[in-house]
Amino acid sequence: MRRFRSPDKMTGTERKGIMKRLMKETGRIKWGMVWVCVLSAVSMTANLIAPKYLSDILDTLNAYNGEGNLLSEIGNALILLTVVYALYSVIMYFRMLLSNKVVSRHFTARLRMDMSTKIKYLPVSYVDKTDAGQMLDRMTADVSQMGNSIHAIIETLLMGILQLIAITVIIFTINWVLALIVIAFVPMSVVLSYIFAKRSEPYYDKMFKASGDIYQTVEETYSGYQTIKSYNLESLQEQKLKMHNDAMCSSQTRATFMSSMVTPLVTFSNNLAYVLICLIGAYFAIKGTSVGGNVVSVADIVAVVIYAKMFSSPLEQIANAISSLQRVASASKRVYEVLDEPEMDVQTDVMPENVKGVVDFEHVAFSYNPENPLLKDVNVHVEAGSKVAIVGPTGAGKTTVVNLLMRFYDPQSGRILIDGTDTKTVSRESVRDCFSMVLQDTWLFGGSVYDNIAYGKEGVSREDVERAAIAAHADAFIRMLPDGYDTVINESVTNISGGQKQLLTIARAFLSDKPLLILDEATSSVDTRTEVLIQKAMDDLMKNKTGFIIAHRLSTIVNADVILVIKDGDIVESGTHKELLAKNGFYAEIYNAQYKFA
Amino acid sequence: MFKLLRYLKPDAKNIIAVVMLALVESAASLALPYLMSFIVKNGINALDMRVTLYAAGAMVVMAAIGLAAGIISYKISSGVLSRYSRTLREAVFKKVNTLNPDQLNHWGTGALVTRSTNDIGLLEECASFLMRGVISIPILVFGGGVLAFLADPWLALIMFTFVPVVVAVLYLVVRRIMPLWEKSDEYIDKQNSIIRERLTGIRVIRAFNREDKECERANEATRIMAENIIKANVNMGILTPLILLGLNMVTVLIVLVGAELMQSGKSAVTGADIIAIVQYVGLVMNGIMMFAMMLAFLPKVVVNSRRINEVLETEVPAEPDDADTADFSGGLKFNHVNFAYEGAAENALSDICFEIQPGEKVAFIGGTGSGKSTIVRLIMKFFTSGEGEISFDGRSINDISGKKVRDNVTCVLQNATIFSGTIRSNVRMAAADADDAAVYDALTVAELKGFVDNLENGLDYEIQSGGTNLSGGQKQRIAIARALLKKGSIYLFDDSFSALDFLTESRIKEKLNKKLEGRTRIIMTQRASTAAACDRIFVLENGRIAGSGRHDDLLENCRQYREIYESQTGSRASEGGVG
Ligand SMILES: Nc1ncnc2c1ncn2[C@@H]1O[C@H](COP(=O)(O)OP(=O)(O)OP(=O)(O)O)[C@@H](O)[C@H]1O
Ligand SMILES: Nc1ncnc2c1ncn2[C@@H]1O[C@H](COP(=O)(O)OP(=O)(O)OP(=O)(O)O)[C@@H](O)[C@H]1O
Ligand SMILES: [Mg+2]
Repeated sequence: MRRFRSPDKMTGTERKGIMKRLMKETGRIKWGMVWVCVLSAVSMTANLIAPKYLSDILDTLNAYNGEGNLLSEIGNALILLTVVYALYSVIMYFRMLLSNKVVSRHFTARLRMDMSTKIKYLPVSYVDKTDAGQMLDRMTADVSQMGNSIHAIIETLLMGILQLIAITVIIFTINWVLALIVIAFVPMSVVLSYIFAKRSEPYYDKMFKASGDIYQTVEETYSGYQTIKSYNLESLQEQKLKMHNDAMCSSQTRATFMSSMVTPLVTFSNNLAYVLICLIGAYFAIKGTSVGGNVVSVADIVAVVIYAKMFSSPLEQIANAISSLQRVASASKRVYEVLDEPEMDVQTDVMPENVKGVVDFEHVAFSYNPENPLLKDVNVHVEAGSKVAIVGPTGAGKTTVVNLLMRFYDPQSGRILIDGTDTKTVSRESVRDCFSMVLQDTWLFGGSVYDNIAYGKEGVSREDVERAAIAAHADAFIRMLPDGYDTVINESVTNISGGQKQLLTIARAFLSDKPLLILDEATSSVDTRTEVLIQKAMDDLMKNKTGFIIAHRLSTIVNADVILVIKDGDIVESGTHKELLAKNGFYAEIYNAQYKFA
Repeated sequence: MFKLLRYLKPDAKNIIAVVMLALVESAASLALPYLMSFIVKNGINALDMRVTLYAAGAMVVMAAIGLAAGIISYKISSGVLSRYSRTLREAVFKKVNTLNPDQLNHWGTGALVTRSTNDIGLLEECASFLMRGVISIPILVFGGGVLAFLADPWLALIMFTFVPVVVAVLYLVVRRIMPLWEKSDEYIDKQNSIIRERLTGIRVIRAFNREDKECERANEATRIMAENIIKANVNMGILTPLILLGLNMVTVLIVLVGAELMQSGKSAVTGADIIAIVQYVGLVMNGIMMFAMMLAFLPKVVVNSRRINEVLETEVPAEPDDADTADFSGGLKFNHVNFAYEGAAENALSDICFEIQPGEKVAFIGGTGSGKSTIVRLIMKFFTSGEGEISFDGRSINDISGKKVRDNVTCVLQNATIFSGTIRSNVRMAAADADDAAVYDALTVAELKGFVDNLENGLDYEIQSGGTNLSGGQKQRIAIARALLKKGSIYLFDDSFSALDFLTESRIKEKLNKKLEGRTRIIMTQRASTAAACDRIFVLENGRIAGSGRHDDLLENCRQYREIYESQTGSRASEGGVG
């Protein structure tokens, strides 16, 4: 048995917690479960009654000696039997209907929606760390696993237990000694299946983990298609998949083997009971012993044996349900891990109306991880309606400033104020509502060009969208696309050029039209002639707006009211273009670098 | 559906073993009642305890044989199934890796991911169910059927009147279920796509406060998926009670007709015969029930295998065999190349002609959407051009496999793709054997050494998927460093410095010039300063070459180039800046 040694175990309390949670979770389908119970009880009764009627009828047939009206003799019983059969099927149908709806709609689908809703409340930092593939694997495979297990448990566990009890009662009425033998073997089956189920658990754990890794590898490979191809990395990725695939295969083989062991083991233990009954029954019969005042007859033994045989199917069901319960713990753990992630704090206050756009950074310090402080002590005052340019070498922390302004991240200390309101004290939504923005990472979704631009504002008209596109100089190329504004951008966003993507995000920002504007490398891939034209539109748009512009191409920022030069997380210089050039410092150095013609 | 069975072939022997073992198992379990009746007859009735003991011993042996056969067959079958899904997963994955971009976009990344993971899992689930049924059903149906016929052929016939009814019900149910599974699969794809978008686009979605809407959209997809699954399951679930009812009615009918026959004396059927037949009907009933359940799974299997098969059977044009093709020396020629994307109304490239000598450094400069990346994609053989010819060292690209081309041409793509892993794993993707010294060397050229040195874990810095914990410029420089570790005689840079400040850019370019001295370099750029430093410049406009030559020539002769140049220096001129 050494081979079955578990690789790594969930601790007892951990599992208990998960099971408790699961029980509570099934609480929402409580009433459905109660109904399933009731229907199960009824259909089981029918299941036990029918054979009784049938055997009575057959007895009559067997005893028929050619006299009397056989048909009228069995007629009533036959009609009754038909009714019981019909009832049985009808109830069975309803039970199935109920358990399906209860489990799929109220359990599985609910869990998926819970996970999807959870994303809303997770901080950006968590989502940044999360791999889409891993998340999707949990949402699909693991939740399915939970649903299947719950389904199996309510479908079979209930039915099995009820049947077991009924049969036990019947056997007791026939011969209590034999009944005790049968019952003595029940714990053995349960214990055996528990042991194996428990041993299978760590393998299920591994299997679910491998499944997540596979999902991640596949996802990453398909979405990194161009790079993978360019570097002939197909075989590398295939090796990576093979590694996870092999892990999956071997853990799955063990897990399913161990949980399927339950069936032959339960059958075996039941067969042992069967043999013992035959033996002891025969002994009683041969010795003529009496049990409970009656001499044991051959018919009694045969009856007990038949019922003992009936034991095996509910026992097996119960055993399988037990093994399901173990599996569900592993899957649930992965799902609950997501659902239990700490959520963002929520503010109920909102930004005051009519934001003018005065922005202050007061002693702002921030780092993504404590070991590497990034912004140390940033102090900036920005007048409403002014244009602020942020420049600096790559990795200096420019995008980080945007992250803080938009409250994707919150500073560890210090305050960021808009119109004198500390943004930390009001809801994130209301802060973001003040900004139009173009982010450095262009993000478009698989959908029409129109929908992508209209994303910037709700309830806009076609004219608004087209006007924004014209201002962003995207209109011309959009009209050249096969279906114009209705052209569908593919899921991997590869059917328009890099610069065109940026133009669309600019149009989106133009459309949204908020009091503050952020442009983070908005035109880095746009050609400079178009850029000059957009610049004019932008200047119009930015009148009376506070704008934050991050750009490496300094031509875009020479007109800024104030230029902040960030280096290693500190603002090293600030002033207008002229002032900074005159200073002949770091700004002058980068500015001149772009005019170095070989 | 049967096409996917071919992947079971390597395990044929094991499958046969499982069937044999299942036979042994059922034989052993049939022996038990037989031995039991033996005990009743020869033990109890004959009052012989010794015979009883022997028979009981035999029963224990039989039970043990059954146990052993059961365990071994499960042992084998769990392996067979796991290997089956492993093989399928690998096959689909490998296939997707050979698709061209059009084929990939035909399904979309999300749908392909589902097909490589979820669909295979579902298929396997069904397969495990089918495998168990395949063995016991024939035994039950045939055994029961033959025994019933032996008892009384006419009464047994009643049993078979029911078969067409079962077939009809099955047909109707299967027909109804099929579209339901298709729909539910479609919405799984949809749900997953939305969730993926929500995770990758979190900032934009939150910035526009669209999260509630997106969440609603995802939940809606989940809901539709669940409704379809429920409908399918409910339709499937109707089978069991319905067929059970039918078969129970057959029992009633047999009893009725049997009683009629007995009473009228038309046939010699006895009560014992009827009892026997009713029991055999029970056996057949079990078999048919299992068969019906199996068939109910069929639509799901069909839908899933169709989805998987679609991918597996996609035709990928055969690649030329070029094992003996020598490595490129760096010469590249475009000869009147035209190219249009699938479905596009106009050519993305028209009449492109140029010739680049080994070791030359050229730039393509041109407006947004002018076709720079398209040229890159053609050189990399992501797409093949319909008209004109592209050749390396005089050999047509059509005679060289994509892999060979990409072995010799190294490209930094416009979008820096970063994989989850470490800095080291990302940089040396194309050179698995590169040591840390080589990695540092590449990082130095890409101006990232300083950044890495400042990190606590250095090269082991964990990069989150999509490179979310790197700045835009850092991602781009990782991509540059990655390219430097890949060999090649032609290096392509597609707008690869756009996220870098000019200071960093000029430092990188200086080092690159040294590092890549003698290799052909093709640089797609928007920056006139970058272009000016090249041996030759091609100006692209709307997919055509509008001019070519050196910086000074172009300033004089090419209007477009002059405009580009002025748009980048104009402000300085007006400022009268320092210089
Ligand atoms: N989510 C994150 N977790 C950890 N570190 C991060 C994260 N995002 C950025 N960083 C690090 O913080 C530093 C500043 O990054 P930021 O994106 O602000 O730079 P940037 O000035 O915008 O650079 P670029 O011009 O290249 O876009 C970088 O060193 C980067 O690696
Ligand atoms: N897969 C595709 N399907 C259809 N059209 C495409 C596809 N890829 C690009 N295009 C179109 O082809 C034209 C040329 O695109 P390309 O990406 O080559 O431009 P580019 O010069 O690289 O531009 P940028 O500087 O913006 O990156 C564009 O108009 C674009 O919309
Ligand atoms: Mg491009």
